[in-house]
This record gives sequence, structure tokens and C-alpha cells, in this order.
Amino acid sequence: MAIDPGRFRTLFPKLCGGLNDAALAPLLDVLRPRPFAEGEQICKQGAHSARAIFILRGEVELRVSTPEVTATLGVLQPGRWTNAIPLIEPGQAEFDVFGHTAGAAVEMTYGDFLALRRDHPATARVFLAGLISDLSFRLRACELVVSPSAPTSSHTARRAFGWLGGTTLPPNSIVPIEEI
Amino acid sequence: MLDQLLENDWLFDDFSARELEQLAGAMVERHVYSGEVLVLEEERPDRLFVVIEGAVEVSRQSDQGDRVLAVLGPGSMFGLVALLDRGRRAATCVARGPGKVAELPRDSFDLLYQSNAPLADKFQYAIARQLARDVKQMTRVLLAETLGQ
Repeated sequence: MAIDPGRFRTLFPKLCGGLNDAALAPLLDVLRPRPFAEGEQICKQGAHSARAIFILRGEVELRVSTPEVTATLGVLQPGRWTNAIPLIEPGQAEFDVFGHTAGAAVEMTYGDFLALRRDHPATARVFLAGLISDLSFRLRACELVVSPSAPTSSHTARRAFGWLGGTTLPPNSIVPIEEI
Repeated sequence: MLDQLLENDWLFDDFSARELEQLAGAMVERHVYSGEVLVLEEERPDRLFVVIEGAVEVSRQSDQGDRVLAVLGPGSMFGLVALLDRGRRAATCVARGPGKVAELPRDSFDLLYQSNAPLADKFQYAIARQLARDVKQMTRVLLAETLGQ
């Protein structure tokens, strides 16, 4: 499956910056197609060699499990990504990722990212700037939710899980999102 | 020498000696005293910090009073988010005892972060690594609280 640069740029503008098609090509070359079916497990929480998942079509659901409970964190739609941290710091996948509908994604491993940095530093730099921007937002959101101040808690609570799964949570989610 | 201290920092383990020297040249090393406020919540950011010696406590004011979010040890970078998103400081950072930090002024940070030099690529990656670690830590806290762990 060849990835159309224009469509990728539309879906992931932060990851593409101002890269033209030629500069974007090395990034698209290292991305591997990952079609998925409804209910299929795409990524397992705690598994090593996790891959970042970039959603092109359809939706994926993020879940997190503890010994006691499994919680649905949200549903990611096209243009969102998850499990990007192992691209930067190899380690365990943060969440379980399942196909919420059938769809298609592309994935990238730590090794792919290292190769991109080595061979195409200018492209990797733009891509990494997009990841950094997302991490920065996510960190600020986490801090605001964990320790909310009165004027901002309601607004930021709604945004805080945006990095996890957008704004729509399945009705049976046990995460008390309204109470955060 | 600051570059030798930075050499032991996990964030800069892929920097060459020359690159460490360049980075150290843009930073200011100084002692801090116990209880010194290095970053104040809601302030406009003017610098980035790296803990060289000692510990720094990160906290936020909340409806229930001050809440400690993390304690940073040597090798940690802090004060990043507000520099990146041009917002205000999200937390207060206070020295837990006497120690030493290295400071990178905002102008130098911007210059380094936005430059195309190889050093800038490594600096950007160091920032990403620190943020990745911070996000993992905060996500653990957030999920533990929301899942009642």
C-alpha cells in the first residue's frame, strides 16, 4: 500500500511540517502498512518492541489494564497516533490498542526511526518536532488534571484525554472522565 | 567543567566531546540553596534547567493545596514545556537541598532548538527523551488515580 503524501500531510500536519513531497518520502518509506479488523489487537500493553501506530482509516480503541480493572481510555480516529514514546525511548507499550472498526494504519519501530534520523536528519527533525509538540501538550494536560486548579479543571479535563482518544469515550468506560 | 558533568548525563550520551563543550558553553552553571524557587508556576519562562547535583521538587497548586508531582535528580532537564509551547510555567520547581544546576537561557534554547546544525538534532532528541520520560511518569500517576490504584 503506497501512502499518498498529500493524504498523509492532511491527516498528520504536525508530523510533516513544511516538508515537500521529496522531503516527506523518506518518512513515508519507513512507515509500514498495518491494516486491522474490528476487535483485532494491534498492540499489547507492556509488550516490548512496541510500534507507534498512525491511524489512516477507521478507528482504534485504547485500553489500559491493572490487575483489578480494564479501562477504555478512548477511541482514536484518523490523523491521531498512539504508542509513540517507544520511538524515542524503547520500552513497553503504554496501552492495549484494538481495532474499534476495521481500518488501516501505518506503524513505525524504534529501529525505523533511528534509520530515519541517521539517513534523513532533516525529515526526522520535522517528524520529531511533531512528536515533541504532542508530548509537551500531553505533559501539560496530565499535570493540570492530576492537580487541577479551579478555573481550568473542567476545560482541561476534557482536553486531557484528547491525546489518548479524542473527546468521545465509549458509554461503558469506567474512567470517571467527568469527575477528573 | 560543565561539559564533563554533562557527559555523565543520560540525556546527552550521544553527544561528542566537542558538542558537549558547545552546549556547556551556552549554559550557566550555578549553586542553588535549599528551598530556592527555580521555577514559579504561572511565570513566563526564561530558561531551561538541568539538575547537576542535588534534587528538585516539582509541585503544583491545586484546590487542595500544593501537590508534589515529582522529585528530579541529577541528569534531569526541567522547565521544558513552557519553552516549547510558549505558555506559562505549569509547575513550581524548588531545590530540595543545596545543589547545582545548569541553566540555558531562552534565547540560546530557541537558537539551538531551531537551528539545523547536527548539535541541534541531538539537542532536540535529548528534549524528546526527557519529555517521554516525564509523560510516562505523569501518565502512571494519572491512571493510578483515575483507576483508583
